Amino acid sequence: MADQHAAAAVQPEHMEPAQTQAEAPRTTGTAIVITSGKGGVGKTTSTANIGAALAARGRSVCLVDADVGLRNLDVVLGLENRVQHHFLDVIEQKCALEDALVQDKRVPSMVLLPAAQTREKDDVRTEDMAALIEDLRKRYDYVLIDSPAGIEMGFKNAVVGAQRAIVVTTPEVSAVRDADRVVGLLPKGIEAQLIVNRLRPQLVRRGKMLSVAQVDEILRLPLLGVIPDEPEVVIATNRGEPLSLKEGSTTGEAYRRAVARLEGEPVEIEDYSAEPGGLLSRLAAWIGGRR
Amino acid sequence: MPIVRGTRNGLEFDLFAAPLAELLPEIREKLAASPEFYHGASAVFSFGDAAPGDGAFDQLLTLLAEYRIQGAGVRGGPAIAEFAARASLAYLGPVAKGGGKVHHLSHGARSVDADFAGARADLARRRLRAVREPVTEAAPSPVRPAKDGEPASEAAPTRLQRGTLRGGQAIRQRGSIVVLGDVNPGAELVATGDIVVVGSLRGIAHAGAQGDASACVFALDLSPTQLRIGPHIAAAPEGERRRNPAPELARVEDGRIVIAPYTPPR
Repeated sequence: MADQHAAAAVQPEHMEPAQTQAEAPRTTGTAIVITSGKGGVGKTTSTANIGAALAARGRSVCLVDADVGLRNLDVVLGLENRVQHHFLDVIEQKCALEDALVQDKRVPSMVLLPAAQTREKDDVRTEDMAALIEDLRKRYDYVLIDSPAGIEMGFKNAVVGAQRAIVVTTPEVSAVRDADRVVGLLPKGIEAQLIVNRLRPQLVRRGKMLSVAQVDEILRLPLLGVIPDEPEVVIATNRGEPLSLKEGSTTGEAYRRAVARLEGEPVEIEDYSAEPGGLLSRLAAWIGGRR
Repeated sequence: MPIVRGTRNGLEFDLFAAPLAELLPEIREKLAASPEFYHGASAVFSFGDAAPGDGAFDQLLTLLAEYRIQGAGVRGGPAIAEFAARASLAYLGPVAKGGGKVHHLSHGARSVDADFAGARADLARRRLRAVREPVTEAAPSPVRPAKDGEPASEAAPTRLQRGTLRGGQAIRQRGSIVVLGDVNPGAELVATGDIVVVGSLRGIAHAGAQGDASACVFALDLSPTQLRIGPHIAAAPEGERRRNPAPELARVEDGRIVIAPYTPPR
């Protein structure tokens, strides 16, 4: 291991500049796993929205649905009827990688690698998954892996090829606990960032919901985004249209800002704790907060 | 005033407040509150000067037998010594100093109720509101740098954990544990010695895990789900958040877990 690193570090010195030009190997992309531990907190919706927003920014993106047996990233993206093969077919060499990839119908630089619906998570070998992700990283700027809920085999396979992790949680104690557990299980060296999904500003102001600060108190992860709870999410999910592609959508805007942060832009975190009303309602909130 | 106390050596029954027959219902109630906890424990009974009626005492022993608690000995005046002989229990001498009275706690301890070992109790009630006299610590043994090739102390090694322990992670250590970071809910620290958390302690901490009640637990924000020191246990109050946490030290005093603001030893 140490030798490999040494060799890799030394290599550029020995490389001929001309050769580097000629080969022009694209820089390897980044594999990001989207995970949460708890189910139903919005992993798949977040994967679809982040992927679409990245593609809309001109990045090439591959979404990998790692939820073998319970796939639904294709449904959320509205691509279900275009799926022909899945990543287990690729691993088992039943088809070429290109044949399994489904191109998105709105943003052409995004593709989906679907999960097998009729197989089980234990059918996937961790080393095969690692090799597959490695391969995809050579072709795409971003490889987003939608992890299944839980911390078993499916989670391990989803995490294995990733360099970064986006941990999705809702402002609920149980979701935060599971997110914390999952962060503890991430392999060393994976850089984790947090998305707080389904925040209801009004409830937070009344002290009935965990605030972002209270979530941060436990998880202590860099905050990638705060996504407000809007009815439009349910509608868009059922229609198979990522909101991050829709102008004028609050949720879509929140995802676009999260993606800007993902790419290292210094975008301020939305402050949902601020009271929009006048002095009287601010006073009421203040009194409510002190109770 | 507690009737039943858990100690390292077993249960202590303080039975001088009223005639035994009158205390029985309360004892029955307390045992019923956490029936499994007492299995296999031994019990020592402390009486005032008057021996209890044989009928009431037999009832007590029958009740304890239901919970598989065995009588081990009695304390009390000369009349009790005779009673012990009749009941074929060991006579352990007069009631120890402080027994029969509300325990005096130093440094302004506010209500520290029964440490009914194992019973769910309220950490907040154990928290001392103010310190009037500093806690006097025994001088710690001086730390010296290890010589080359010298193994770390084998008697009670201290484990240093850098970084936060997340839910599901646990450290079990023969010796003491120091955590530089938080201990999140669902994480567990078990040490036969002391536990120091330079951060928030929100998980479970068990110091003195092999029965050492002199062990202590320190944290910058001491808000554990559950705290155990030796044989004593305390649980966090439900649904309460402290606004301005300050460093605190938990230790056992007079058979109960007491939490005090930390004042450095002088």
